[in-house]
Amino acid sequence: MKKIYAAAGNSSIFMGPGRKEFNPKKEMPTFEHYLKEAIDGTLAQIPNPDFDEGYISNFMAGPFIRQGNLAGFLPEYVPSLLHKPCYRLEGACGSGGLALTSAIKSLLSGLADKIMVCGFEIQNTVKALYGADILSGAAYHSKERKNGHAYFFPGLFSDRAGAYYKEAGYDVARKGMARWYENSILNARESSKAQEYHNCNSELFEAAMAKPNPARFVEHLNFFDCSKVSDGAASVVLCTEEGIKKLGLKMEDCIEICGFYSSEGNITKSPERLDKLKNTAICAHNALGMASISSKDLGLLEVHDCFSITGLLALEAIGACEPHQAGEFVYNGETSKIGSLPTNLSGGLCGFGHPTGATGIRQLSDLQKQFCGTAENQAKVKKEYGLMISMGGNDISVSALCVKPTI
Amino acid sequence: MTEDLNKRLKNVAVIGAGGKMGRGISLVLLKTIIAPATFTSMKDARLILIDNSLESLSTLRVYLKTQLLKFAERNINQIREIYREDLKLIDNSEIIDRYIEDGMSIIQTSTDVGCCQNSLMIFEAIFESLDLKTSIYRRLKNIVPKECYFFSNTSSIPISEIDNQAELDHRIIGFHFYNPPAIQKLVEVISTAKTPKNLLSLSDVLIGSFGKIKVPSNDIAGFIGNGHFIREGLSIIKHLNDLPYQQDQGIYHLNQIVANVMLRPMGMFQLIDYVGLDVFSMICKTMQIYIDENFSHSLIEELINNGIKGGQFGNGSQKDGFFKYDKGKIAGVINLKKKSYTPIEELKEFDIEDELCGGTSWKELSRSRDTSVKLTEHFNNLQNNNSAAAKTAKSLLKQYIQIGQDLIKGRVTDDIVNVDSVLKNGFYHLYGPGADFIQSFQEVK
Repeated sequence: MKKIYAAAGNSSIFMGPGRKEFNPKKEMPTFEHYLKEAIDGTLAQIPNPDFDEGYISNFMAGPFIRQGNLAGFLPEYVPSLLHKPCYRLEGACGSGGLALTSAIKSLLSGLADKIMVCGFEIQNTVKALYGADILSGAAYHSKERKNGHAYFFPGLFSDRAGAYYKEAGYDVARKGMARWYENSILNARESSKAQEYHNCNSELFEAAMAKPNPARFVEHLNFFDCSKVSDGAASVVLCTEEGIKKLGLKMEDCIEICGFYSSEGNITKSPERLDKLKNTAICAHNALGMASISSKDLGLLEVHDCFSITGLLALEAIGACEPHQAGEFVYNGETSKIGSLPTNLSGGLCGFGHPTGATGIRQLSDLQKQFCGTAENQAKVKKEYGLMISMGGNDISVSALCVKPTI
Repeated sequence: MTEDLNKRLKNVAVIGAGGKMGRGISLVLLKTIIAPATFTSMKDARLILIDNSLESLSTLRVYLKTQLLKFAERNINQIREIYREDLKLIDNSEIIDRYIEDGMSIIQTSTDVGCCQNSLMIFEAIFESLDLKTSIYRRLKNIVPKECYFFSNTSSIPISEIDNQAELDHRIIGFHFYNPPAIQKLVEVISTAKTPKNLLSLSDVLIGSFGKIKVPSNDIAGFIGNGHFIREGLSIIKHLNDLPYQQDQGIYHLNQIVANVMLRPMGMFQLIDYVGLDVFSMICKTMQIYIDENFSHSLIEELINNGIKGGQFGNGSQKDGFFKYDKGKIAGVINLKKKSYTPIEELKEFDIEDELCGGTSWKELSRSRDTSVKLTEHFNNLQNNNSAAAKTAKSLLKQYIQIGQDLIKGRVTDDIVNVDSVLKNGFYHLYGPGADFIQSFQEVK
């Protein structure tokens, strides 16, 4: 099988509450601005930016900005894509992961050697309260929305947190979740485009230890457990070895994608167990299997922490730690920048931000920078392999990509 | 009592609903009537909003709708519960739209007080004139059911006076809201020896439903709030004569001392501008009728005669008064001789902050967790400072305490705690005249 590579990752600033320049009362940058910012940064890294195909991932541009037919914007920002195949992929918050695995399949089919993959989301056009209505489309809207929480997804993952507390114990889980938040912000502070870059709270862990208050929010999560509403875009190039040559890239600026998988859950069914991400576990298992490695070989992670509890559950799904042990694992610092398994080094969804359609692309872009040694918050990676999990909905549209450096 | 209140809340009216206070009171009532917890049982309620201006009523509807939207957004969890059984309402946006629609449907606006024929509670917030109030109440009492109670928002006219003039059989109580009523927590409740017990207890439950703080005041013109504010305002204006400055410089200086040394949200002259010089003067005149003290100052009247009245424009921005305002900030001080405003750049700035405040401010202290400790330290520093500005501040503090004590001597209230509560909750003072850490200023010569 052909080898597939990723290169020239970039993201725009992820904008939203927390960034100093964020002011929803004033005119905000549009999706065109973010898309151009991300793609221009990618194109600037490529000597011969001539692509065979384009993929754009997005979740809900229709309701948020009244825009569809998104693939039509690719030739505007990537002129070489005019009259070439371009596709829009949607799998809720896992849209980015789906775009990546779809592009990889196209490369493997032999129909393309070099593909531009980008993603974006604009969510701050409406208040979070109404954004929740839109984002609830990531679940089975007609069956789940009515009885859901006003903010919907925090309610679903609050239920998961509650189930997890019962199995793992509240104290250890809470400490792990608070440490997760602390790591997210500390990493984001080293990443100039992160939504939480300007966060200067000196008591992160203490703040995130706050007992959830159902009267103010949801039963089992506090505000620090949640990623925020974000606008932004990200882009990355996927190519074959032939593609690297044609684009004029250097092998050392690329990472190899040595395993991938996309796994779809049944959106109409409730999770079998709330304290586990079964679909994520299957997806990660298959991606690792394709790379012929196990979770013990992983030295770097990019997981989908839309909530801190999701981060913990993802660690267990991947096999980075035993069931119900993630709280202690994270609390002990194993996922910090200097830990045994550095995770989400630009801040993840909780720290860098979560413009839903862009997130999966941003994750791969960050892995590429870390393995190529060009990340702002560069870690010393102790093991050869990295893994990213892109998740849409409540463990429904999941993609996993296993990567390693080329040198 | 709650049953009686719920019955009465289904038939409420506000007279003068289009005014600044009336619209706030209307909102407080609307939010209470359609509170998520009791909404289902209140769907047949009627909130009748009366004003003599059709334009004000139209603006009022827009205001209430906007405020209801904000209220619904803030309380979305409870509001989703109200419509749990309505399977067609799914998204927050749909539920909020319905809630606003349902909420607005209980409102009836009119210019005709005749609409109040079934009202069991009437809140009056019309212009502060005994004649006008008497005339309205006389009409109302012939229209409404016998068990109807009246709640007057008067800030200065004795309740017993309105009661006697309009022959209301003591069915009236003073409910003095502070501006803006929807936000300010304080309600001064003014009762008389003849106020029915049922009305008193109903008032207590009602204030609880509003989520407000009640401070009782005796029925003496000006009550606690204006009783203190008007006297302090006049005393500070009179203090201008004791300063070796031109009038404009003096106004600026005293205003700075009140704001920055006495640590208030704004200086006294700015507060009078905010209230409105015409309103201030009118309250003075009312108090003058009932109290044997001098409640006038030529400067206030002179400004009014020159068309300078302060208060706010319809969009909430501040009109010029003692000060000229630029985007809400003081830009100039009145110079009556020149009939113009002296730009503050041309006035002397005193180093008050450095000398007397140690860098602290009302804003900082209002958010502090140890306000009392910091205030004690601040006033100890002031006591040990002998600068001219410090002497003025000490003298104003002495006056502040004295006016508080005079309210007790004048039987406006029995307890200085009530004065403190009014000034803290109604005027956002960080302390009241009863605060321990300022008592030493009583000895100032």
